Amino acid sequence: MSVADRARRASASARVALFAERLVATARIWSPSKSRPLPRVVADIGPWVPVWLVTAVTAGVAVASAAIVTRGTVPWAIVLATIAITVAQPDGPGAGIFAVTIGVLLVASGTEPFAWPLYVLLATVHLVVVLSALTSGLPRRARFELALLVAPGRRFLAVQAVAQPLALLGAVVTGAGVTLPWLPVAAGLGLVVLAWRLDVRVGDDGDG
Amino acid sequence: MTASPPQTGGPWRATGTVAALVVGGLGLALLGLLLGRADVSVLGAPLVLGLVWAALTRPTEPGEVVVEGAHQDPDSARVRASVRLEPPAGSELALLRVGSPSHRTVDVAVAAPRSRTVGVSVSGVRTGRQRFFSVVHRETSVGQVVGTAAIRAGPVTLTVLPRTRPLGHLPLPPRLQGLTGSHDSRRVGDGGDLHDIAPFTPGDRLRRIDWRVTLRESGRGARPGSLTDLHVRRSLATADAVVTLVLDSRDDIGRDISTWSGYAELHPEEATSLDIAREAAASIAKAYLEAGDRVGVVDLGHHHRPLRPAGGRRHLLRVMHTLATATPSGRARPVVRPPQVPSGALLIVFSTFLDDQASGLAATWCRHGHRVLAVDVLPPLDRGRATTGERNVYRVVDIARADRLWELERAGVETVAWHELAGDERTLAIGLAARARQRSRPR
Repeated sequence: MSVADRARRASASARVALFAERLVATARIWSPSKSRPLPRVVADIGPWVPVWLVTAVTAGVAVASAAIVTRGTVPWAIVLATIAITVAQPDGPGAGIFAVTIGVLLVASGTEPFAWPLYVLLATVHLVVVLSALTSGLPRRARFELALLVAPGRRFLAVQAVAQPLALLGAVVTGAGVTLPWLPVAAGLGLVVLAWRLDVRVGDDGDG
Repeated sequence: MTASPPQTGGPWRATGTVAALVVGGLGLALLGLLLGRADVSVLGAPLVLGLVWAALTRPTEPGEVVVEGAHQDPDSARVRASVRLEPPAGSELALLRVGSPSHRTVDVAVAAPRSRTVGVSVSGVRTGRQRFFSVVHRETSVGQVVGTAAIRAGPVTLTVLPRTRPLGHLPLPPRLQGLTGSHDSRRVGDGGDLHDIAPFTPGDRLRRIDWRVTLRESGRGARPGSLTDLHVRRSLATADAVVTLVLDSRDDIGRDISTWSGYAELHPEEATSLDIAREAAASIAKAYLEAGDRVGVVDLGHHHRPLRPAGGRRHLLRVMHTLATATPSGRARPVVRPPQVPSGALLIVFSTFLDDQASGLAATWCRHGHRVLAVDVLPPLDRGRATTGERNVYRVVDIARADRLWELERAGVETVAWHELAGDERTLAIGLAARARQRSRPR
């Protein structure tokens, strides 16, 4: 190999090395904080959880609700699709579509009218809608102050205090009979105790 | 403390939650009617009730947000402020996105049914005039059925003063000035240390008569035993030092040489050369002013009137603000004539010495008879992220800089690097002496 060839080859490899270095330098300019992350702004708020955790809880409650009335693969596929829409886009009608789907599945499952699943679904479907509304428009990584659950929790209990007796009244009026009359009462009392505990532990820390 | 002007929220608009409640509530009611199942209709009752409740309590007035109370925490290297939320009745949730230059933003969803404040803070060692805390704010109502558009509050501008470190022994100028002060001058007057013993002259204080010398000298005269010539002890007068701090604010460069091009962002927890210069100048100014001396400031980056030498605690605040507001702006003009400094002043030049201007001025002042100290404020460098080209360029710059510092030492300017003065108590005089010993050691 002649000297000229060797020089040409060396020059080519140097050019490739220079090009690679330029690429790296360009990438570094557009992502300047990769080697050492920039510090984050600190916000002093009360106890918090990430929004994605609240979303996960919403999805869990939705799946548990669906499990009461869903039988078969196709119904499960449909209800999981509605849950996915609710979780992916909480700032939309997804939670409403999920509620309607649960209503359809309640009928399709052959459950007797005003049987015990209705009282459970009254609470869980409402809870899915409330949690979905709370996380609507929030970034997944945002910090969700637990004190935010206090006022919606009270409102949830107040609405349930009307809805559960309404269901009982419906059962009496339609003559369906009340198979487990103590269940909604016990559930209501449990929710009251839960909300009171939540209020004591969270309300004082983060409210105001 | 500073505050941003209050920002009023926009009109309240329906959110997607309304669609969910309407579709769910009315859909279940219709489904129950169509299928003849009252229990399905009852399933939608909570959603309808929730929608009615939210509609009855929805807010109409706009809310307000303001960033206030921005201040520098003296105990930690943090800047703190408060975000004050003034939501209208019927508001429930506030989403805040708080950002600050060179910091990652944080999103927080907080309960805001009534007025509240959220404390925010950022860390950093950078000093000078900076902007902090830009807040994007959005509110939703009870049940999240209506919400406001995002509004922005802040940022607030705050001057972060340089921190000071305790300094031990300080060098003095060759000539002290004034009729009083904390240092002994070479002039005779009322002071502490003995200057000499001289015959009594009219005007001398009687309490300065040295009786022992007077008696001894009386015994040697023509009439032994009689007091003819009184002798007095003369002491050195005290005086104060005049120190002029010369700040080269034309450069503001960080540790990472790959950021010197100006494209990459500087890390807020790494002090730049100007931050180090501010800290060094503030520490030295505080030490001299606490000793009762007079300190002035000359900024090489701005050709406005320099801060004249003066003393006292209020002047220390003036010096601090002058140092904190010195920033590189635009293209620095070359200095044609050296800035005027008081005669006999000690000049301390704070610079990176990356060009000839500061070193040239220091050498000129030294030739004019001033004692000049050059404080090198270039931070310890990090070349890890630099490309080969940048490293090669830096090598050339570093060689030129080393030559410049060597020329300075040859001209009689004492040089010291601020970051080499390690330890809790930085001692400038000892640091200078150590450098002098290092230089005089045979190689």
